[in-house]
This record gives sequence, structure tokens and C-alpha cells, in this order.
Amino acid sequence: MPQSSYVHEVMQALKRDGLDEAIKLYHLSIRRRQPSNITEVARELIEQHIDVRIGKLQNRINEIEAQLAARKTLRARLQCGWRRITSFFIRGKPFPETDDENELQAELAEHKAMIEGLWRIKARLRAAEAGRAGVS
Amino acid sequence: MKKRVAKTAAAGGLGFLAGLLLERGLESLTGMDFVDGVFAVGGAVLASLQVNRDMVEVASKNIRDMFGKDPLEISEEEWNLYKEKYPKSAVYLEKALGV
Repeated sequence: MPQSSYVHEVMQALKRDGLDEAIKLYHLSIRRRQPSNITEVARELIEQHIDVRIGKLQNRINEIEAQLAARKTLRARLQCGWRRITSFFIRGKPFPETDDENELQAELAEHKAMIEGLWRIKARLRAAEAGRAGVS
Repeated sequence: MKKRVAKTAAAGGLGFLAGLLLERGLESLTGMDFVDGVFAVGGAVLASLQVNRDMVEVASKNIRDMFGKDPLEISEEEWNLYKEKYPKSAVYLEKALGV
């Protein structure tokens, strides 16, 4: 297939929000043919897509961190303690505050890992193109 | 090869017509006088480069996701930021749109 066909498929995948597919096709395109100006633009467009995802994940991380930080204030701790006591005496079971906090911590760790993964993918995209260009 | 050239010329012609219609339509709707042929030429350029149109579409979607506004609405500062971060795509977009 000519390189423009690969690039066309990469663009179609990006339009569908199929980042994995776009990356796979991009790697295939530079493995089969020498990188050109058009593949460099395609790589940058994939990188933009990755950066948008990183931005969204970072926003969520900031939100979670703000929520967790708000729970660490003295007033929030007192309120939480009071809720636990009242719910234990009224409903007979403790207030599930810690479960919620654990969930947030897990989500935070997951998002951070995803960001690291996306950075690695970006680095690999650049390295693949540089390596292929170096071969020629 | 001949088939491809004919296809590209046909697509370019159609793009030109579409651009011309858009320009005339906008002029009659808004009463504004657009710079002669900008849309028509832009349409022809985009239509004659079929792969490139996909790229322009993806790039404009990315710009919308990044800055939260339409590519036509971004400021010069934002465009320079984009250009600094993604030089190849910026140059490509400028060429494709004849800026």
C-alpha cells in the first residue's frame, strides 16, 4: 500500500477516537515505507490526540487531589468523625467514608499510571520515526 | 495515473464550486462582502488533496479539544502556541488552507 493509504487509515482511526489503532497503523506505515513529511504530520496529530487525553486525565487528577486535600482539613475530619458516630448509633453501621477515599486513591493511581503509559507511547513514536529515519 | 489526475481535478472542481456556493450564500445571508474567492480557492485546495482533508479535519478536531473553541476562533497567541508545540502540523495546515 502507498504511504498515503496508511496515513489515510491513521486519520480515519483518529476520527473514530481509536488511538490504539492509529498508533498501530502509524508504526506499520513507517516500517513498510521511509518516513516522510506526511508521516511526521500524522505522528504530530497522534501526539496531539495523546496530549488531549493527558490533559483530561490531569484535570481529573487535580479534581481528585483537591477532594482528598479538602478531607484532610480539621473541619472536614471533625465532620467525618461526627458522621461516623451518628451513623453508627442511629443506623448501626459505620459511615463508609474510608471506602470512598480508597476508591478515589485507586482512581488517582490508575490515572497516573495511564499518563505515564501515554508519555511512553509518545516517546516510542518519536524514537521509531527517528530510528527509521536514521536507517535511511 | 491518468485516472488519478482526472479524479483529483474533478474533486478540485467540485470543491471550488462548493466553496463558491458557500461564499455567495454567506454573502447573501450576512450581507458581508468576503475577500474574492477565498472560500472557493480554499475549497478547491482541500478537495484536490483528499488525504490532506482528513488531516485538516483531525487537526481542527484536536485544536477544538485543546483550546475549547473552533479553529477559526483561536487567537494568534493560541495559534503560536500550537505552532511551537506541533511545528509540522502547523506548517501543513497553513499550506493546506493557503494561509
